[in-house]
Amino acid sequence: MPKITIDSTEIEVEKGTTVIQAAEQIGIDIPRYCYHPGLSIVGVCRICLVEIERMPKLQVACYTPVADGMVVHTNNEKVQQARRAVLEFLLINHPLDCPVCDQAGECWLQNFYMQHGLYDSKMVEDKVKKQKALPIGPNVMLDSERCILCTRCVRFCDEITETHELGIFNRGDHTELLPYPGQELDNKYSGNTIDICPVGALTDKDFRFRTRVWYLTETPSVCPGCSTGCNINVHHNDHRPYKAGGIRVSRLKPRYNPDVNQWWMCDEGRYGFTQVDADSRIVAPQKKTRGDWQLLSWQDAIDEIATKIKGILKKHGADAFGVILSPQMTNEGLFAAKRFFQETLEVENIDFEVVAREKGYADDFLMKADKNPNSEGAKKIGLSAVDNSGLEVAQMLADAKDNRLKALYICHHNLEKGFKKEEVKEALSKVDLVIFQGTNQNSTSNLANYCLPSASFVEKDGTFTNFAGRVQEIHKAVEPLGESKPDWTIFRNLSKRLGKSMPYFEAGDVFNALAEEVDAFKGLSYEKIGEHGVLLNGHRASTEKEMGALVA
Amino acid sequence: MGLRSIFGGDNLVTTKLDQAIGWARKYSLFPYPFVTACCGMEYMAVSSAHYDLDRFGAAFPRFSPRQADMLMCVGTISQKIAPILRRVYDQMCEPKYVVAFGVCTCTGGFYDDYSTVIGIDTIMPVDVYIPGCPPRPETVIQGLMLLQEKIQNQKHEY
Amino acid sequence: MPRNIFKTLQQKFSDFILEAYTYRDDAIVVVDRNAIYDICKFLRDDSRMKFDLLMDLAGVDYLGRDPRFEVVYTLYSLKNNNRLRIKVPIDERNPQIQTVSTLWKIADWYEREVWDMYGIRFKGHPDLRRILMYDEFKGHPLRKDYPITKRQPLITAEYTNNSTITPTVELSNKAMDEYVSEEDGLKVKHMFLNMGPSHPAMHGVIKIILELDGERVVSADVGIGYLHRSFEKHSESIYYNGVFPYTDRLNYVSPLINNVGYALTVEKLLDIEVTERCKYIRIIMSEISRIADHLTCIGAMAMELGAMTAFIYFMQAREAMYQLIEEVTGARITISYVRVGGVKADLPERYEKRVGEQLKKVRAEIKQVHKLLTRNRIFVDRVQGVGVVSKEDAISFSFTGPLLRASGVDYDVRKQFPYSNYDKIDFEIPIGKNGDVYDRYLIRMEEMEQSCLIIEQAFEKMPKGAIMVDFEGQEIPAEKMADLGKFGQTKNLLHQVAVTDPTLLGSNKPYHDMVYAPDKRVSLPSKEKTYGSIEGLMNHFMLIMDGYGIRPPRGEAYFAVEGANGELGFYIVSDGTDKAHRVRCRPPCFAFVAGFGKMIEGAQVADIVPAFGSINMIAGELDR
Repeated sequence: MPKITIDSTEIEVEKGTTVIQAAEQIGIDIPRYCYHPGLSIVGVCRICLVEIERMPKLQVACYTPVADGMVVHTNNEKVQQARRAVLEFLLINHPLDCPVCDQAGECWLQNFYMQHGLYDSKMVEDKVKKQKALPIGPNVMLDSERCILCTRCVRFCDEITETHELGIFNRGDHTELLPYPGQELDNKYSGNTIDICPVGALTDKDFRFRTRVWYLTETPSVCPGCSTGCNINVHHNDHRPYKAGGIRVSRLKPRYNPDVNQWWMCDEGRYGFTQVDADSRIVAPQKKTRGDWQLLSWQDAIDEIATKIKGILKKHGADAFGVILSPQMTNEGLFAAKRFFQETLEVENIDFEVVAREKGYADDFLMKADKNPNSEGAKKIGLSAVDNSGLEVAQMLADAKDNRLKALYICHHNLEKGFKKEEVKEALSKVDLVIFQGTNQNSTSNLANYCLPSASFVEKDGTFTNFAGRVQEIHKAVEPLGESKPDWTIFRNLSKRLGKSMPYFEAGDVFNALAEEVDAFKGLSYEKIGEHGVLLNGHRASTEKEMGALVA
Repeated sequence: MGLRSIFGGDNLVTTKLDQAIGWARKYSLFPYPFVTACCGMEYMAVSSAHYDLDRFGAAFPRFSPRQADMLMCVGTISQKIAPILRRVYDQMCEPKYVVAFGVCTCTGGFYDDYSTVIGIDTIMPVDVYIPGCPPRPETVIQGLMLLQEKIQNQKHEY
Repeated sequence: MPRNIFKTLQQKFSDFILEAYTYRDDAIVVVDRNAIYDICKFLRDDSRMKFDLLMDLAGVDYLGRDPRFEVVYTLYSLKNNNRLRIKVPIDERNPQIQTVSTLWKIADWYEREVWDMYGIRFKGHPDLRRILMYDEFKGHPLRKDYPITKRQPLITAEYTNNSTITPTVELSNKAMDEYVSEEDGLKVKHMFLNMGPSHPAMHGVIKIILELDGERVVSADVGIGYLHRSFEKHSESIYYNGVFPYTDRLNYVSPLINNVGYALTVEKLLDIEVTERCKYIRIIMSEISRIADHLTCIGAMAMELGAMTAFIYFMQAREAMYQLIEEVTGARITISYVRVGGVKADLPERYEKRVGEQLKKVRAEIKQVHKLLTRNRIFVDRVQGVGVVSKEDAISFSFTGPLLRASGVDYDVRKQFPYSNYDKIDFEIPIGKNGDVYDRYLIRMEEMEQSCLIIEQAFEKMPKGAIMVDFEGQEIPAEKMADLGKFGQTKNLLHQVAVTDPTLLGSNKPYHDMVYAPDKRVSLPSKEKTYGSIEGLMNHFMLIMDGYGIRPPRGEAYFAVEGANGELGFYIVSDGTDKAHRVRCRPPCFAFVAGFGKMIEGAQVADIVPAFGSINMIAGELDR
């Protein structure tokens, strides 16, 4: 294993490591534009130049492999001069856009100028004009003047999505990044080019002019869009809440996870947070009285529902009770539901699977057909009708039509996705008590007697289990909207009202209880899950990575 | 009670009497300068020869609340001194006027913290707000003239 | 010098000295808390060390570090003219330390403030109660986990509509029966008189509880904190340049001196020097402020003694000063003129002439008031021999400024630790003999004259004219330049001069380099660079926007300037981000008010008024 010295610190690294990677291992950050660990190395930007002793000219740290006995200087006078020269060349035609550029605050030109530049400009010519504010796809806006031609986006489209939409045209001063004639940047992963662009050339159409990035706070979480469970950071605006018209979550960005999604996420998940602050959010417990919704306090709602449930159980027994849970809920919500329904109420008709009539889009990279983040978790906790002796969802609806089902507790589902509209309407209208617990109003909630507000995925702590059995943690980013509460809290309160109290004060308590009871989760805890998640017992890291590849 | 009830309402005599009393009151204001902070410097400047308050009749500060009729609350009011300010206000006799001098007394200024009262109108009724940090002497004079207008147009009790 | 101190301390207290180092030329020792009393006693009494002044005692909260708190002592030696900083780490679970109030009398009040703000107990303290906050307040506000907007109102709207308010008189802890003395065989009970917060003398808000035996004061307890506006907490929540408006409102009669003091401390942390012209500008503005402060002090004191004429004359002179200040900064009192690395803008044209005219006016007024007061029988009778403070008491209470000089000690920060080119200017420091109010009055009058001389010399020595760099002779209005830059028409833009409003002259290229330090990480670029080049625009952007700004390296610095009242010190701890971790202001009049109780013991009630007037207590600085 070669030993090298970087800035007087000795380090031993694997053969084949480049100087820039070796420097990262000891915490030295060499500035870079074109180098990205997930893409091929090209060495076009030249800002990672370092001095290696006994080599006459400065070398690029991103492409130079480490050799035994190498002595590297990353910060002496020569290197600093070179960096300043590179910055000066890059900035010759850079437009004076900082006040109107979305990237300000996270722009690598700004950051490197303050850290490594700080020189006086000598540019006294007119700047070259190129295309500005050109939408090149449904999600991406291009500003060619700001582009520093690092070719990260071109390599992304060539190597990761293999759709070859972008290219570099013309020469010299007039070199420009553009999509190929007749093509648009419309692959399903186009949002990732915005993440990797170090300057404001490629910006997000959705996020354009929404907020300045220094008002945003980052919270790690997991995308609830499909069962891959890409790791994300939720960016929310805590400092200027009055500015965005009530929209608290500004954007989602992918978070690095070597096993699940590496550095990428799909567009569907990236822009799939609008339901969090939409008008259709249920914000308080509601009761349908004479065709209209009447708002209740939590106390009243829980009292009424508990009384009604008790009545139905007494009169008709536990067989007349049906529960449709949802794989949109967290493991904690599902476990609390299981405790509540199976132990407190002794109901057996529990199921969670509603097979969608229209299959969702799937490919072999990150998108899965199952658009629920926690199907595997629900299965392992034992809520599938196959494992219980109860009815499946379709049978429950059939029973309801035949008047045999008297109470139905539905969580989060829009049953029209799996069944015909008339069937659902007929079935639900014949049930005495329909309780809907969810985040947003939908056609199913409109048919319910009671609606209980549930907190969305950015408003609670919890865990999801992805398709490969990896448990990953989500964190609370914003406060629950209105009166909404996490699912496990609602079930705990109902259970307490119906006689059996569950000693859960925070999500961690529920997870610990879950880890004790369910075999697949035995021995796990939030500390073990950490930042990148951990596989359930009984799951091995598969020989093919959890993340597929778009290799044909 | 008084002339209005005898006349059963307002008429020429009462309105003229109101105006006369208003004129007398507005030109003989006795301020109680409750000076705490930087605005006190502008208060001193406004009372001195250059921007004379004496020509408005409001020169003579009375340092006893029993003898004053205009409480000029000058400067930031902290939570510690708020009960004392209120006590001074309670000790004044009617008719009394409160002037909030400086933005710290109007809305707390830029002191949004644990020790400042966010505007004295949370603890007493205010007649004229003079914003500024500190307000220029001309602003203070304009505020005083607004107060004089208010006094002139008030219905007085007799 | 620091090496000798370290060697001596390490020889004598080797186990208890945890660290000893210098940072930015300050000598710093980190000491174990069990030895603090012995070390302080040794430092004060040893004939070679002689650290007789306890300049400052402050607390710092390093939340997340174990031990969490730190108590910082700043000592000064008059004989050797050097400073020493002692830091004592204090554990959160047992926040206690031995008091040093038996060594220096001022420590009594400093320690009460640290208890109030941080919750650190001082063992052996005679009377540890809150000083700046009211007793009903729960919690310790300067701790990092106390949110700045968490209010605990003493009085609310519903409370005020209801009722009688119970008075809150804070008495010291002696039992009521002790307040008795014997006279001619009769037992006489003392009377408690409250010279309450709403003071007729326009000094601001302070409460003096007098224990009177007839007309004579037996003892006095001073209550402060009625204008506590949490300057120190606000400074931790805003970037470095944004603290200047808060510093204006510290000593609001001479705000430029506060600005300069804070700016110099941050520049010490950053280790940068400002330009020569900027140093002279700072001297001129400081001295103008000092004149305004002394005018206010003497005018108010004279008015309280009945000499209203002196007040009116001095207010006229002060108007002259305010007009000068307004021409340069745009505002009269709260000006926010200084910036880290320079001043906001250069002096206007032909300013020297106008300063000369106004100084003539001020000198004329001073002469008038001299004629009125200095040999006036009534005035001299009222102020001579009143409020006497002996030299030892003055040092023990760490008086500085005119009060220390009145007691006969020659200490002026401008001479001992010259800053901002004061060493190039020739001026004298008046020293008194008796330590009474009359001496302080004479010192202040003479200091005003010296300030006038300083201003004149500074104008002579100041480097003049603009630096013309690359000036091709074409002037463009600034808005037009910004537009050209936006559209990329940057041909020769850097060589033009942007014509901006005259009050922004300093930011315009010919004048910019004269008043701003040449360090790009601290000073904003000139308008031409900002509008004409992307590098200048990025530089401007990163310095102004939230989250980047000025980032001094991790460390701490203490810097003192000579305020109108004495040594105004700032102690700033930086954690490498764009917001300070701790900004501590060492207020000069805190010491005076702490010693005031002692000053009027035995005096008559009528003597309290001139004694208090001579202190020049500014509540903004006292309570911060």
